Amino acid sequence: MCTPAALERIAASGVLDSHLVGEPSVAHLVNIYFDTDDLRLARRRVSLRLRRSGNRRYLTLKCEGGGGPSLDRRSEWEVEITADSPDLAAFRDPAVHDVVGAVLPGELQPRYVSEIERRTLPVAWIDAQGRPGRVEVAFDRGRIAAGRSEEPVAEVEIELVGGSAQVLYEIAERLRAVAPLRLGAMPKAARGHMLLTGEPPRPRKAGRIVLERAATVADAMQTVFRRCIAHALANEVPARIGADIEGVHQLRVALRRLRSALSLFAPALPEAGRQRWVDEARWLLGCLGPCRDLDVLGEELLPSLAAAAPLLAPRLEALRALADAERRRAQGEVSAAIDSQRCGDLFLQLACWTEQGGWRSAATGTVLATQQAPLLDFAAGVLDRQHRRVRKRGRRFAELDAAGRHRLRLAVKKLRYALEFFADLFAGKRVDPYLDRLADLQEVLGEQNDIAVSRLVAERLATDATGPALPEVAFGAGMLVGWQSHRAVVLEARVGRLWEEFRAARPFWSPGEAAA
Amino acid sequence: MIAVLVTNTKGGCGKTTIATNLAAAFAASRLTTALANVDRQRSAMQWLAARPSRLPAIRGLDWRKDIGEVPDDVQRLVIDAPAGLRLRQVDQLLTEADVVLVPVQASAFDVDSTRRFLDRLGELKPVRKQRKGVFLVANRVRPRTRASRRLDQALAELGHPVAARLADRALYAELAATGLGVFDVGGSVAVEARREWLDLVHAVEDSLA
Repeated sequence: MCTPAALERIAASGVLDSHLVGEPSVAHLVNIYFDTDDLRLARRRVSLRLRRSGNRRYLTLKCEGGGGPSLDRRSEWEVEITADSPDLAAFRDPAVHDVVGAVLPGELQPRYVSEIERRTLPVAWIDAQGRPGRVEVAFDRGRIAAGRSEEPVAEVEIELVGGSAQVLYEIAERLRAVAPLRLGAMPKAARGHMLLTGEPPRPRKAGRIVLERAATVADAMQTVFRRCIAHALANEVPARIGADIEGVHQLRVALRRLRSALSLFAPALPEAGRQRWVDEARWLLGCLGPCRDLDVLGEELLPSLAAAAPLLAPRLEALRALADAERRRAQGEVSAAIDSQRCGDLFLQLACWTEQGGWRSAATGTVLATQQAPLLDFAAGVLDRQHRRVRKRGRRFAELDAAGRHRLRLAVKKLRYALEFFADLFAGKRVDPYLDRLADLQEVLGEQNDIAVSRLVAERLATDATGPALPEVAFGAGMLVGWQSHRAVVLEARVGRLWEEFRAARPFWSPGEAAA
Repeated sequence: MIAVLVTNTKGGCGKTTIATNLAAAFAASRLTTALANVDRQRSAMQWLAARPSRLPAIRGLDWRKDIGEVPDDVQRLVIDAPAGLRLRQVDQLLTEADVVLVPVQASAFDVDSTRRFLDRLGELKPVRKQRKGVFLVANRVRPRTRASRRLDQALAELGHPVAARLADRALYAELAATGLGVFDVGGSVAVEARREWLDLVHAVEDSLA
C-alpha cells in the first residue's frame, strides 16, 4: 500500500526493467461488493465480491477474523459464474451458507465498487544466495467508491510464481527504497465498508495463538511474530482515527506482546537483529503512551468519579476540558507516528524478517541450536524462568516499595504473555487455576499502576494549567487524586491476598521444577 | 446447526404458519433445512407433502412419538410444537433449540395466558440462564386497528422483544394448502409479506451472530 504519487514513482523508476522476462499485461478489474440492507455480511465479517475481468466473472466469498496459518477452517471460496448477479447457490460447498447465514433472494445489493487497472510485470530475480525466483509484480491503480464518496487505491502486489521465496522480500525492499511503501492494514472490502458507513474498522484483540506441539522454536517464533504484526496492523487505522480508545490500547498491547516475544525468544535470536525490533517497538510505544494515559483519565477515571460523586461532578469539568485538549494533541502525535515512514518500515521490514526467518542469518552456536530445538522443552523452560522471576520480584511482598511493585507488575505481565503464547501446549487440570490466579493478580497490579499514572497525569495537568481555569483544574485534580488514593487503599487490602493465592498456584508445565 | 422452536401452549395462534414459512425462508436461502413435526395433527407434515419438488427441499422429521436424531448436514432446524404441550415436554424440546419463537395472535390475544406461559418458560433452565433468545411474533395483525394497538401495548409489557409483526393475509391459507412459503412466490402480493418475514429471519439470525 502506498500513495498514488509513490506508486507512480516506483512504476516510473524502472528498477524492475532489467529483470523483466516478458511483456507487461494490463487488466481492468471491476469488483462489486454485495451486502444486505442491514449489512449483515459485514457484521459477520464476511465479504462477497463479484469480479469482472474481461468477459469472465468470478464470485468470491472471504471471511476475515480468526485468520492466521493455524486456522484449519476454510476462509475463502471462489467460483466462476456467468450472470452478473451474486447467486450464493453458485458455491457448491454448503459451508458457505453456514458462514453467511440466511440471505434471501433479492436481499443482496451492490454496496461499494472498486475499479482497478492492474499492470502485471513478469519478473525473474536472483536472490542474495544466488537462487533464482520468478514473481509477478502487480501495480494496482484505481478507486473504491460507495455512493458518492470515493478514494484512490494504490497498491503493489508481489506474488511468487516459482523458485526462491526470498526474492519476494528482496523485491519489496528494492521498491521500498524508491518510494515509501507499507503493508496494507485494510483489505479493499474493509476500506469500502468504511466509505459506505463512515465507521472506522473496530479495534481488534489479539486472538488465540495455537502452536503445534511438535514444532521447533523457529516455527513458533514465526507464528508468534506473524500474529503480533497482524494484531498491530489491524489496529493501525482504529488507533490513527482514535474514535474508540481501544484502538490505541490494542496497538500498544500488540507492541508489548511483540517486545515480550522478542525477549522470551531471545535465546534463539541473534542479538543485532533482535535489538533493532526492540528499539523500534519501544519508539512507537513511546509515541502512544501519553495518549493512552489521557484516554484512561478521560474515558474511564473521570466518568467513574463523576458517577461516584454526582454533586461534585460539575467541578471536574475544567479538568476534563483540559484533559480533552491534551488528548487531542496526543492523538495528533499518535496519528503522525502511525503515518510516518518509520512506522511503515517497522512493520514491512519486520514482516519480511519474519517471513524469511531473518533470525537464521548471523545465527551461530547455541542460538542456532535453540532455533532448531523442540518447542515443548523450550516453552517449559521459558515459563519456568518467568515464573521464578515473578516469585523473586515478589519476595517480601509486604515491604515492596512503588518501584518494587512496578518491577513485579512487569514480570507478571511478561509471564502472562508467555502463557498466552505457550499455555495451550500443555493440558491438565492445573492450567486454568494457575491462569486465573495470575490474571486476578495482574488485574489488581494493573489498577494500582493506573492509579499511580493518573496521579502523575492529574498533577501535571494542574501544574501546566494557567489563567482563570487554574483553580478549578487544581480542584478537580485534587479530587481525582484523593479519590484514587482511597481506591488504592481498598486495592491494597486485596492485593496481598491475591499474591498469596498466586504463590500457592502450582505450575502446570513441568511438575516440581519451578518450586523456587 | 441452528434450531428454532416455535411454541405457545395456546392453540390457534399460527404456530404452523410461522414454522412452515420460516423453514421455507431458510430453504430459499439455500440452507439445508429440516422441519420437525411434534404435533399429532400433522399439519406441518401435510404442508411438506404438498410442497412442489421444484422448490428447495425441506426434510421432514417426525417427532410425534420421540425427539429423534437430526441429520448432521442440517443447517437450520425448525420445530413446530403443538398446543397443549406439557412444560416437561417443552423443556425437552428447549434443550434442542437455540431460539424460541412465541407466536401471539392479535384478535384472540390473551395477555394472561401468554404471560403465564412466558413465566413458566422463564423458569426452565436454558431460558433462565439466558442462553436462549425468546422472541414474540405478533401474528394476523390488522394494522391501524384498535386490536393491533392493544396488542402492541400488551406485548410491550411482556418484556420480550417482538421479532416481527405479520399482517393478516388471505395469502397464508393458500400457501398452507400448496406447500409454499412467502419467499417461494413472486408477485406484488407477497412483497409486503416478505418484508415482514425478513424482520423475523433477521431477528433469528442476529440473535446468534
